[in-house]
Amino acid sequence: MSDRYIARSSAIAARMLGGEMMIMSSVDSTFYTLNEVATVIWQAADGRTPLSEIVSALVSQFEVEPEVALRDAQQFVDDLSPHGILLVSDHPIADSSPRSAETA
Amino acid sequence: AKKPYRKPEFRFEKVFETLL
Repeated sequence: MSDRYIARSSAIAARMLGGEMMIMSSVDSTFYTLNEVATVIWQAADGRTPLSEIVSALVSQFEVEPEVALRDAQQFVDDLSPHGILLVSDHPIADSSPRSAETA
Repeated sequence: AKKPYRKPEFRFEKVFETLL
């Protein structure tokens, strides 16, 4: 399976609160909340780190089998990307998120 | 020690409608 790359959209404002990431889309003023595991994926979505590597980080931090973590991460990406706040590509994504994962 | 795993999920709501 070819690897995928994910990147945060630049059209958002995000802030960590209580272990969960709160994200506001400036496009349609939709407010998103990610749980702790989803937040780890979000913070690692720099456009340069392949999803498989992000999943490896999940496996090292959480009690989960690699196969389960990969399947869940792919599902999460597939669910969130249509909302436009997470970009997905088969190739590294450049300059999609020049600022940090947590922005004002 | 590793932390308990929960499936990565998100929820969302339209702010305009919430600001009901």
